[in-house]
Amino acid sequence: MRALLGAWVAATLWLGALPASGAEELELAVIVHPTRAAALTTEAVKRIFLKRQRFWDDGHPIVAINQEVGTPAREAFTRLVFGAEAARLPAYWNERYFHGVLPPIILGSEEAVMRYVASRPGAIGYVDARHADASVAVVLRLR
Amino acid sequence: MVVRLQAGRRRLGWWRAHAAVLVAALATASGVSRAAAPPLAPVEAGEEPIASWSTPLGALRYVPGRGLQVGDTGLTLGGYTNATLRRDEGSEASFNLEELSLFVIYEPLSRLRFFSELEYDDVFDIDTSGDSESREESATVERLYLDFGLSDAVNLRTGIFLTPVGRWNVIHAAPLVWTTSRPLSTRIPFDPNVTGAMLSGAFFPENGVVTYSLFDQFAGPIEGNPDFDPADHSVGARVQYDAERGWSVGSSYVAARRDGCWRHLGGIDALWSLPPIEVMGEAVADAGEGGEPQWGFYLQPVLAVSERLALVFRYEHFAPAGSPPQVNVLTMGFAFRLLPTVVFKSEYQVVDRSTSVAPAGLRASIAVLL
Repeated sequence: MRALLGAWVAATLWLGALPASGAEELELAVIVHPTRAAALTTEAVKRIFLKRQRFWDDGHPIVAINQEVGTPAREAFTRLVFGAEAARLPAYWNERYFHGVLPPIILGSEEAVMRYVASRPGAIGYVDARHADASVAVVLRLR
Repeated sequence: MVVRLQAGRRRLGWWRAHAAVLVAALATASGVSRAAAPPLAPVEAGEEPIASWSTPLGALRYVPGRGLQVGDTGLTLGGYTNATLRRDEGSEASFNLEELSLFVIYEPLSRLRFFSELEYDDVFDIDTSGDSESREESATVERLYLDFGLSDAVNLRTGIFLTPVGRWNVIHAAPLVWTTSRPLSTRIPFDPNVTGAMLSGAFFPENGVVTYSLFDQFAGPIEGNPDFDPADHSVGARVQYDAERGWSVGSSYVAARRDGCWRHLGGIDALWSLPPIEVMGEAVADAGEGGEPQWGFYLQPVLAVSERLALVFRYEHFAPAGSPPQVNVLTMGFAFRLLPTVVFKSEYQVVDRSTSVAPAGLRASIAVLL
């Protein structure tokens, strides 16, 4: 009986220690308007979200969309695209601010990101790959 | 026998139960370290508004270090400020609200950006005797320009903008640099800003980014700043290569005419960053008609000993034009980032020949990005 109780307590503790979200295993889809089909590299996505690249190849201005701070997709995107360089991002955006350049705009949900990207030919965002549908084009998968 | 066996079974059960709990505790200890919410990553600080108000123009959002954003109008108000404590050798200490800069950023369209920086210098100065002094007419238009982006490779800027020479001049704001003092090579040989037009852009080869700028200064500043005597006319160019692996090199050239005499300035600069170490350096040389040549260089290694604290060391050699002697300057100090957009700096400057432009002594400052 005591062994059973101890095993039950152990199982409860172990299950409680499991990660609350699947952020570490999240696959992201970088999405653009469906009229754009060309695949992008991770480096190109990094340049775009740093606003170093501001235009598509056809000359259309790029509008990069971030998700909210603290969301699993945002955390995964930062880790997968910027890696160790993420630690330098505050200093980078401080310098860019001095030149009048602000970070990408933030939308409050994946649905909002999907709707925005689907309706604007210049937009680029990222969502959980499971949620990307035919209203957008996936140009890069990150995992 | 039966009693002993039963007692043995009870002891074994006791151990099994406690072993199970012990194993679970160990698993929990490692699991909690994975599952616990990580501290806010540095990239995420500085993006959340700390205040927001609803207005007919949309939500007014203030994000520290990113300014006050006015709804979806494309208008952002911001700036930075810097207060300095200074004690040169042989002089009294003084406290100075050295800079208050106000930004107006307006992006009505994706291709169009308006930017202005109004700077108040030496707002007030207090020495150790308690005497205070403030300058009248201390506001200058540091920058005022319009950017039109045709493509990544072609951007046209017109107005008043920072002279694209080296690295320090284009990021000279106190919250962005590691020290309170500024290298002589980055402020004496050339004008800090120009009024005219500039063509600039970026290209993206496989392993980095190449940026260029070409400018022509054909007008004077819009207000008469008695401390600023710009060239009558200047043209210049800069090219910079930023590699993906944390290093960057650049080269700059300016030809400037003053009182009918042309002078030519060339410069090279580099930045190498491999956390926790960063090394930056610049060298410039200026020669031509109407005066003696001048040249100088600095090398600045920085060591980040923690996420907030960095040790800074800088050596500079500067040879001014004419009779003033050459000077060697050693700067040693630290920068402590109280918040992502607030930095406290302190340094001591050792000079082999103390001059008015390079006095030896102690400097400390606190700089805030608004």
